[in-house]
Amino acid sequence: MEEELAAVDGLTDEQRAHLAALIAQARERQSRELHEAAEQALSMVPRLLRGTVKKLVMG
Amino acid sequence: MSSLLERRAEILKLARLLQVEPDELDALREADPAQLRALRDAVTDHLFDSDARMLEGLASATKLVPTGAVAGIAQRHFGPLLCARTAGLVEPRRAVDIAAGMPTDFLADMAIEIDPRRASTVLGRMPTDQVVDVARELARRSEYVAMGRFVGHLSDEAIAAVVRRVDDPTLLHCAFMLEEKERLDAVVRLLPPSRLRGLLRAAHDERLWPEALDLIGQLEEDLRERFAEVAGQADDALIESLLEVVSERRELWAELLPLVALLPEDSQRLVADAVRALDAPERAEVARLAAGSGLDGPVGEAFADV
Repeated sequence: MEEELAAVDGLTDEQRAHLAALIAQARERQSRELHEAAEQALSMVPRLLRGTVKKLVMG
Repeated sequence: MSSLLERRAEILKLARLLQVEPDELDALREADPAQLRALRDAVTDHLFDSDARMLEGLASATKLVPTGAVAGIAQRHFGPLLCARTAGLVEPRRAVDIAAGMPTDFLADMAIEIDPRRASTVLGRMPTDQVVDVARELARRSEYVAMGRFVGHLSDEAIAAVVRRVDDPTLLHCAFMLEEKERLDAVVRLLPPSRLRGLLRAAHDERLWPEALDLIGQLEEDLRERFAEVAGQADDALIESLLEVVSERRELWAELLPLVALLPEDSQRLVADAVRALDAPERAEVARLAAGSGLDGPVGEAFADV
C-alpha cells in the first residue's frame, strides 16, 4: 500500500521497511484484538448453536 | 497553518493510529502534510478493511437481538474496539438507540477506536447531551486527536454545546488537531470576548502558543482582529510569553509575523525588541519570512538594517 503513496517517496528502503513494519504490527494487533473480542461475543450464543453462528460470522 | 505545524499534527495523528510514539515516525518529518494525510487515510482504510467480513457478520447478527438488549451485551461481550468497528455497519437510527443505553466512559473508549468517516451519519444524529458528555470524558483523558477527528461529523448544535462546556486549553488542543479547519470560523464566532481572553491566557499559562497561533492564523480577518484586540488589552506578560516561545521555536515566526500588523503599537514594540535580540543570521532568516507580511512600523524598523 505505502509504495503507492507520495509521503513515502523520500524515504530510504530501510525507513520504508520500518514504516511497513509499524503498519503490519498495528494491523496484526488490531486483528488479534478483534478476533479475541469476537470469540468473547460468540461465547454468549447457546452452545448448541455456537458452531453454526461462528461459521456464519467468522467464516 | 504553516506546513510545519500541520506536519506536526499529522505525525501525532498517524502515531496515535498506529499506537506508536511520534518519534517512531521521524523519517516522515520532511513529508508534505497533505501527503501525510493521504497516507493516514490509506492506513486507516487498511486497518479498518481488514476483518471486514467478520465485522459485517457480527453487525448482522446483532439484528437478531432486541435494540434494548444490545447495549448491555455489546459492553459485556463485544468491548469497545469491536463496537467501534461495527458501529458504522449498523443501521444509523438503531446505532443511535443502542448508544443511548451505553455509559459515557464506554462510548469514550469507542470514540478513540472509531473511524468517524465510517460512522458519520450516526455521529451526526447523536443527542447533544451525550456528545457533550463523551467530549468532556475525552478531554479529561487528553484524547485531542479523537476529538479533532469528530468535529466535522457532529451537528452544529452539538459542536456549539461542546465548545461551551470544554475548557480553554482543551479548545486550543482540539483546534490544532481539527480535521476540518474550515469549521473554525463558525466555532470562534460563538465565543464571547471573555472566552478569547481565556484562550490567550491558556496559551500563556500552558505554553500552548503554537496551538494558539495555528488557530488564529486560520481565521478570517475580522476574527484575527478580535484576537489582536484582546491581546492588546492584556498586560505585556502575555506578549512576552508568546515571544519567549517563538524565540525557542524559530519556525513559529512564520505564524506570528502575519499577525503582528494587527497588534497595537505597544505590543509591536515588544515584537521589535525580540527581533533585535536575534543574532544576525537568525534576524536575516526572520526578515526573509517577514518580507511576505508587508510589515512596517516598529517591527519593520527592526529589520531595517538587515
